[in-house]
Amino acid sequence: MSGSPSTHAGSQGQPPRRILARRLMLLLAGVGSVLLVSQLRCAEVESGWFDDGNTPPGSGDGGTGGDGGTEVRCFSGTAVTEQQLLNHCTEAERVERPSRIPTMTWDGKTKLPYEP
Amino acid sequence: MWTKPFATMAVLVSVGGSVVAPSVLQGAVSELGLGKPAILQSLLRAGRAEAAPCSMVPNSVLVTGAMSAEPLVKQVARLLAREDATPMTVMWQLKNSCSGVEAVVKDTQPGSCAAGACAFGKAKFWTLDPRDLDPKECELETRGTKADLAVSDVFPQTCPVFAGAQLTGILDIPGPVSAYALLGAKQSTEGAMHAEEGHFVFGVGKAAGVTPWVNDNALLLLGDQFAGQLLLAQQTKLPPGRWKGALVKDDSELVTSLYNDTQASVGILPTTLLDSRRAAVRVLAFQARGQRGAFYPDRKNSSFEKQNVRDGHYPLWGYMHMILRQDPGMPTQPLSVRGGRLAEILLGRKVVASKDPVLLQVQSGLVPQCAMKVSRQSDQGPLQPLVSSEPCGCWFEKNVMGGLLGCQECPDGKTCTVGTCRKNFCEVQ
Repeated sequence: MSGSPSTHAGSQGQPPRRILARRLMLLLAGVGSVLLVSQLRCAEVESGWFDDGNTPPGSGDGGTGGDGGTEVRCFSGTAVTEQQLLNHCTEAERVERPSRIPTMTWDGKTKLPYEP
Repeated sequence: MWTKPFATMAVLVSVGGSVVAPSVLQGAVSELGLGKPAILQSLLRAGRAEAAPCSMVPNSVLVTGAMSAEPLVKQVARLLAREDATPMTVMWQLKNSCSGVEAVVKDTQPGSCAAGACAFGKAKFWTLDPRDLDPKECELETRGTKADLAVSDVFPQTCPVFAGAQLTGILDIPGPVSAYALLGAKQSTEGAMHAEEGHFVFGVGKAAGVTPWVNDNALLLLGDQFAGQLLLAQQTKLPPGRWKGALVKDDSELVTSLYNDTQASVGILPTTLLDSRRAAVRVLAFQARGQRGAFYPDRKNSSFEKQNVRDGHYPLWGYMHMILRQDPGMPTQPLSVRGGRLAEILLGRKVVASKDPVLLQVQSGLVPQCAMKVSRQSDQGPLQPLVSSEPCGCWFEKNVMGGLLGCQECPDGKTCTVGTCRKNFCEVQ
């Protein structure tokens, strides 16, 4: 039937389908990224590890920010292992500094020379 | 018999180190009606600046071991001698943890002292006379005096001489927690030591180039029988025989050196002896392996509540063990009844002179186990969370200088909105 309104996409004044598809993909990618980051954060919450100064409100054991703006990760879950106890979030004074062992003496990875 | 004879001796011995003439002493003794020639001779010797024999001390109990125990032993000894309904004279010989353990563990021969067993030389004791603020000295047997009790801040198996050994015939009862602190020179600007740095500083010395600790003579050690060094050895993974440094005689020499020395000095002491001398040294924070950041034993460099020891942020501590010989007929009981009684008091289980023995631990700088949130099965074992059946963390904080006072009180002994009322505080695990 002539004179009826066209249903053809890409008619004048509207973006072509290709552009729409690209925009949709970008939108999906953005949403995906947001979801991924939030999932990672959720996993972090579950594992109990936080950057100090970023402990969950009401945890009652908030950590303090690291010295010189360096954020230090602390454990805010229920500590069970020694590593978790040593690194549990705390308000106690902490001294942060890099190791003073020269790299020529020790690489920081291999076994200590007299370690049994 | 405890009363006049010993009271007299106490007064006389208290002048033992001075210039009182023997004739004056003799007159005094005669006046007091002490006719036994042996006692007289001993007291006369005391008048000539010799210590009286410890065998003359009535109701005595000989305890030996860790320097960290001295403040608690001193308090208990005074109370036992002067205020308790069943008096006892504590004779104390300061050694170190492992020498004390050895004196008891190797004491396997009834009636004589096996090699390495018993105590020799002089012992301190606290007299009946409340004017005597300082302890007196007495002379132990030349062939050795059996120790009733040894106090050690490490498990016996941590001592090099008993490493890996199955020890029999002894009772080993872990008591309150004794913390140790790494110390730097008073003038030092260094604030912390990492466990790995400790391995190189004490194991390799100057050649390792770990600043500021680049002077082997400034690594101040009390020896590998000393609990502090053995506990640090566990954390730094540096076996006892590998340590480099300069031996110092005692805690006073160590503190004096740190006060006078330069940046490079470092040492370790129990906090029971350190806390009153903090102005003379610099306490170093310690960073354990795998830890993010270094921590002091206390919440802050300037506080005293041992928060980081109690909650697992600071691993340089040991239980104060009571080591006694078993009674062969009743293996759960100590052979020395007096030693057993003293151990029970030091462990906080038995009242002395109507005083709370756990409070005495706190006042001596120790941490009662009820205030701990972590535990260990051995000095080598990892820290584990501890849920105490009778927690006392709030009460502990209330009784240390600068402790947190945020806990709810329950003066009626029972009513708490949250937690359980213990020692008039609502304790929450």
